Amino acid sequence: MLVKILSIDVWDEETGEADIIISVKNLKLCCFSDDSFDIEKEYDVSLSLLASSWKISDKKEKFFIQEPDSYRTTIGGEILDIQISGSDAILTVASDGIIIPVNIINIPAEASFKKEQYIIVNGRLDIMRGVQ
Amino acid sequence: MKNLKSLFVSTISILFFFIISGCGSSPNAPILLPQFNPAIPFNAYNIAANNTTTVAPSQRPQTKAEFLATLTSQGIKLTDKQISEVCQFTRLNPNGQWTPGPMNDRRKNLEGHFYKHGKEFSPPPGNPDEYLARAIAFIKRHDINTEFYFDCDSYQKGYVSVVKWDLKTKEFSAPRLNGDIATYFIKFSLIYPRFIFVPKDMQTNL
Repeated sequence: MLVKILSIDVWDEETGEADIIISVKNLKLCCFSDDSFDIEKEYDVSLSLLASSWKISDKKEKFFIQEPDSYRTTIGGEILDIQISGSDAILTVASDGIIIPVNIINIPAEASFKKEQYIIVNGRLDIMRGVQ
Repeated sequence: MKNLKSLFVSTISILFFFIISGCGSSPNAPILLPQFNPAIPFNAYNIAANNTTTVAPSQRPQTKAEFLATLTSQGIKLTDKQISEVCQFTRLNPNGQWTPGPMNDRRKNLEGHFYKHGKEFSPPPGNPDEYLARAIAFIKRHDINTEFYFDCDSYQKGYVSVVKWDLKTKEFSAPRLNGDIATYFIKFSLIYPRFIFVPKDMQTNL
């Protein structure tokens, strides 16, 4: 995914951890990263949401909400694709204006995902250089 | 004159053949040269004395030789001291402290990381001390799911850093050689070429 870096707030110089504002498809998003970027440059990156909590939704809602100045993000959207590996899942979710991989760790055994289901996920929006 | 010139060229050719074939050491041995791959810098090849060993870079090195060849392919040449440090990272004993960080204040740096990353854990740690305790426990834990990776970005910044990652829980931490912990959070994947797997034969604690 091609994104433009608008601003970088490195809050730990030693580890390179930073809040990064990007521009992608007319959206302005705040992401977390410990990769190095330069302002105003464009990069081919992996953008993904690391889920802290999630639930399958009956409502067919697509939304993308970020807490002010934070990479904490809540999205609602439709599951387009499902990849399960052990107890982890990568769901491709079509949210409001963006299609994004959602990484879920330690899914319970009873959980099941289906394409075209709707899901609401809260977590950390990550940006990484390279392909995940 | 023409015959003399032909004789000279033939003699030089024969001499040259004997020199490059390593005659005298093992006349019956086949001449094996490493295959040249233009994608790999030439100095990434490790040519052993018998001219039979080729070590190529790998996205997941299985031996120390492969690990070093992979770093070399990225223009990183570790000194013996740095190689020793990489090994030391795999048997670190945490000293119970967070790094001082840019503010030169261990407590504030710990609290900052807890504020940023605490919610990522399930269940989340209740306070900075619990967050620190979990990070220490993670560094101490060694099992089939824990792996070590050399961080090329940190090396480019001027220091050797080996991070620890758990394949299953996705816990990620960057300790320092003195036992300080610099960060601890959840990282879903580690991407090559930034992170190079440290093979088992360099993990001195196993």
